[in-house]
Amino acid sequence: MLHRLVGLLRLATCALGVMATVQAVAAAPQRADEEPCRADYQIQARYEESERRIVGRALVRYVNRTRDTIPDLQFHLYWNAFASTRSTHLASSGGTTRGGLVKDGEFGWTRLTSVVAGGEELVGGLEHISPDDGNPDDRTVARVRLKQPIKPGAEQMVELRWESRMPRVRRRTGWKDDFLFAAHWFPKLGVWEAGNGWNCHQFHPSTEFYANYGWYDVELDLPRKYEGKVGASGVQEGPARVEGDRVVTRFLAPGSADRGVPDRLGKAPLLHDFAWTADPDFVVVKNTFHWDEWAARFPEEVDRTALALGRAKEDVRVRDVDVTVLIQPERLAQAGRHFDATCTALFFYGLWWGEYPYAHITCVDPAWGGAAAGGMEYPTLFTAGTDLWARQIQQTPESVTVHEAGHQFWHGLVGNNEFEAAWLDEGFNTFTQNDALWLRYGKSARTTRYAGFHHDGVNLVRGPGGGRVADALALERVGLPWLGELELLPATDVLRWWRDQPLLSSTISRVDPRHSERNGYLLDPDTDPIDRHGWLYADGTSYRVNSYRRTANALRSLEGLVGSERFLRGMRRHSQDWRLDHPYPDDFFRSFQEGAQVDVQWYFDQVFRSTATVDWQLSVNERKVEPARGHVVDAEGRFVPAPAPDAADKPRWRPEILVRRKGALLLPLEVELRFEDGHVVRRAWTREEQERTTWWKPIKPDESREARLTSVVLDPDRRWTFDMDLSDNQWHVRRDEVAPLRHAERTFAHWTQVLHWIGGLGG
Amino acid sequence: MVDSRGPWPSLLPAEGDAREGRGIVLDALRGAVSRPAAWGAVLLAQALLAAIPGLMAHEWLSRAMGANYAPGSLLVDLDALFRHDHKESLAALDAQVGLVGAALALVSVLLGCFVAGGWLQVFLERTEGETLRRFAFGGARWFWRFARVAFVGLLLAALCTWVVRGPAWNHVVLSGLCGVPSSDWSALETLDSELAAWRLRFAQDLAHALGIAFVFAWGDWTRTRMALFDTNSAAWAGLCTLWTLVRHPLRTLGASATLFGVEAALLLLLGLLSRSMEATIHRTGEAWPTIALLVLALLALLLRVVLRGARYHAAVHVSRQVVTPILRPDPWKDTVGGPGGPRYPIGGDEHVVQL
Repeated sequence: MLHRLVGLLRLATCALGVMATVQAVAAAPQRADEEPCRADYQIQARYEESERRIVGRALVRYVNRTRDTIPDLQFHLYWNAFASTRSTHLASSGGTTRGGLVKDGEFGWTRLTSVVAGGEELVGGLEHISPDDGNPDDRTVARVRLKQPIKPGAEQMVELRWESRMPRVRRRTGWKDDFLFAAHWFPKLGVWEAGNGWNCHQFHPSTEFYANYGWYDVELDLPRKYEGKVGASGVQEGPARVEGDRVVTRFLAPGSADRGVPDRLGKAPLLHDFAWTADPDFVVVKNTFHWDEWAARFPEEVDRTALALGRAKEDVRVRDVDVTVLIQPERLAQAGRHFDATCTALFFYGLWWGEYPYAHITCVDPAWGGAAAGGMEYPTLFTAGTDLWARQIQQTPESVTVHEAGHQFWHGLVGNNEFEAAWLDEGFNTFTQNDALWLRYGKSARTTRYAGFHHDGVNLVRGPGGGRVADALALERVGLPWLGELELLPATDVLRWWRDQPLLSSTISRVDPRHSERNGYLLDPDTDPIDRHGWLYADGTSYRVNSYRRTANALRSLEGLVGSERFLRGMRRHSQDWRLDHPYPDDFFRSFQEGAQVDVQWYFDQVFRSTATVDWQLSVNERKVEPARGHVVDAEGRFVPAPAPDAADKPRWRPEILVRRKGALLLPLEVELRFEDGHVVRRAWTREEQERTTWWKPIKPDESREARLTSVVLDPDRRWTFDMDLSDNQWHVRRDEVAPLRHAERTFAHWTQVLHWIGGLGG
Repeated sequence: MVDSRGPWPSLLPAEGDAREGRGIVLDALRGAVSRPAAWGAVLLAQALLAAIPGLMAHEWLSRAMGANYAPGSLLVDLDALFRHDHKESLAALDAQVGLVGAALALVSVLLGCFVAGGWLQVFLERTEGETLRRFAFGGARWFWRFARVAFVGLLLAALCTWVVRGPAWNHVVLSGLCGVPSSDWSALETLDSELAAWRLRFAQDLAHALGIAFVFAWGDWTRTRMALFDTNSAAWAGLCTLWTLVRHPLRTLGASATLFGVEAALLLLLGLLSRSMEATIHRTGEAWPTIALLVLALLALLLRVVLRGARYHAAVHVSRQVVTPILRPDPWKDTVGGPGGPRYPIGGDEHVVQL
């Protein structure tokens, strides 16, 4: 009902003509004129350690809120992606996953043993389908036809029984010794979309998840050694029950206190997934995020946000949240940093995009050898990832923790279809993560690793070697006939530290986390457009670049285009409109423009739906204006000899500035000219002008000044982050002579140490 | 009579050679510091070698920055945007410096052979003054012999590497002691914690570093032995040195380790000063600490050059005490006669000595 009200309000806003500009926005497919269906799960599952087996039973309450009649059910059986190397998931990744090649004994699968709906056993009619690629060996999607279709507005109870073998953690889920991480581990219904039918894609290596919202009530039966060492989505309901050598733990997601209680945006919290983890080695650290503490630390950001959203400060506050960190004992010293980073996400994301509505959140530090489970998000539970000696200046694990905790908002609360538009959460989250990191931690340090330790500093160039000849000359290794490669004097970590003397020779280097967006985007700027189904990108690099960095980069420039206040309003509007719902790209474009009150559809079309790029190039020359020679025309139109120059006249200078644009991306561009008399001139090159020509001269040929140019800078406010090469966007009359000396000195210092050390072999 | 190849080094302990422990180290430091011509020349040579990569970097930086960056904007740090925009040429610079630097490393090893000969000549001769001339003479005199020692040292380093990082380590330590299957030798995920894996890797790295440090120390003592006895065979001298090191580990390696400790402490001190200068640049954005950084870098190099000299001084001193002189055949053992005059066999028919 609330959803409908929001929809009506939106329509009313348009109808009132509050923003006429938005009228021009192309209408997106109306997928969401009806409320999304709802799926509640009640699950009992038992884990048998000896066979790595899970036997489970789920009672699913499915509510059809569309006007469609649903004739069948489609399930994701995600673990079948790890059943064999012929599954679409493993076949398209060459059998390799995040955690390396899947070996014998590490495969996993899920088998539905019973599907009962309307009192009838349907499993006999179960069929596996491959809607994306037709692969007959892929069994990640199953379908059963219902005897009684689900009518509009009706609800259907379905009882599922299944058994599965847990895979070794190679991508997101599985076991490593006693460490268990169970994600997308039960047969899960796809999403019935009004007018479109089931949206239930196969599990590809470059796709994630999509599901309806609902409630979860899950009882886990595990070996007793896991007592008190289990974490899961939601909140543990009551104490764990010990039954012989087993322990049974029940979780409710959302927790009982949150169920049915509307949050500050007026929606009762729901979730679209349930994950759990267990490890006898976990150290359980509990703490609480308090809004007041964080608001006192960042009052300017609270004020800025409240002002931009046109709300009172009290209206942007968010709830306090209990935080549990499940951490490995050897990394216990980093528990506080995991907590702090989680709070960073809860505070900034909550402030900007609306509060985290659940009472609890769990941060999991995967076990050694289980890193492939790290860096992943599930509702109210996420996995981070760190190393033993990670330092805060590197923002590890802060970066990944903020990112994964941030997914509670982008994808947890705004549940886009990650199969078809992963960028709607990954890119939005990357963008927000970088802003949050910047505000909380500032720049991150570039470090050099010696024997696991991270030294705060880097060298401009590495040590000697780097190729066959160079390695041989540097006495590191040499290729010998028959014997192969023989290592002579390789600079192993401790030796390298002594050789480099990093305290003496390295440069402290800091990185603005936001710069990673552009640099990441430029790794692959034009293979695919951003808006593409996850498995249809050219390759994994294109998927990652487009879904994460390029989208974040596009949002950064969007902020530059519309201004930070409007940007905040637009994004907040999208977050609010689609909270606990399933937006698609056009929904975002519409919501943003309505919220920001701008018409930037041209920007969305160019940036999100094309592969256009841009590289502006600046060339500057300055000429002294010579006195005229020959004959000039006088007032009566006659040619007369040019007058002799007056010695008292000051010389005049004519700047010759040429801006070239390579690439088809058209963005309004400013140029700033500074003169030695302090005068500053700004000129703009509009998109319309750029449509006509690929070059621009901001200074007319007859313009001249007494003052000489001191600098010319394209895009002086750094609104745009797309430029393929920023090194030709500025011109300064004074060259920097000191910086090259400063950095060359560090190289010299480095090599004094390196050469002295290697010289020790001679004597 | 003077040997045609140069002054014959004395095997006899010099005055004060009875000192031990700290006295040896202080003497060694004094001995090296008091030869400014020697360490000055070595410092200059090594600094000139290191200047080549420095100049390459300067040339690249000047070209990359050109007139395209506001003065001062890249002084503190070459930011991520700059590095990305120039990543191809930066990678090319890295490769060029890596190759040129590798050649310089080889030159540096040969320079080390020369320098070792120079230091030993200076310390072994009783002559005073003319340090630079004697240093150069010693460097040339033993150069090829020490080059052979360097080659043997390289083979020993390769052996050490093979043992600590090769099949021996993998089979004995990883598979045998830790139960890691061969498929997991690189990742060590079989171990039950990151700490266990880190400890194992660190132990391996440390063992390798200690092994290489031993090879370097062995080289110092071998060269000293060859200079003392003026022998030619690097392999034989190396074996004898190995035996000496095993027999007198505290007196020999103890001196080396003490000097290494002094070097490490001084480098740490200079390193911390250097860091504070680097941090000052970051804090203030000013350029002057660059000069201080350069001075500190040269000072660190100077200290290391002097300490390398001191190691040879200590090695000479200790070797004179612990190395058994080689038994050479004495052609005059059974004869009598004045210097330069005729020699007569003792107990021969022509001459009878009556007491």
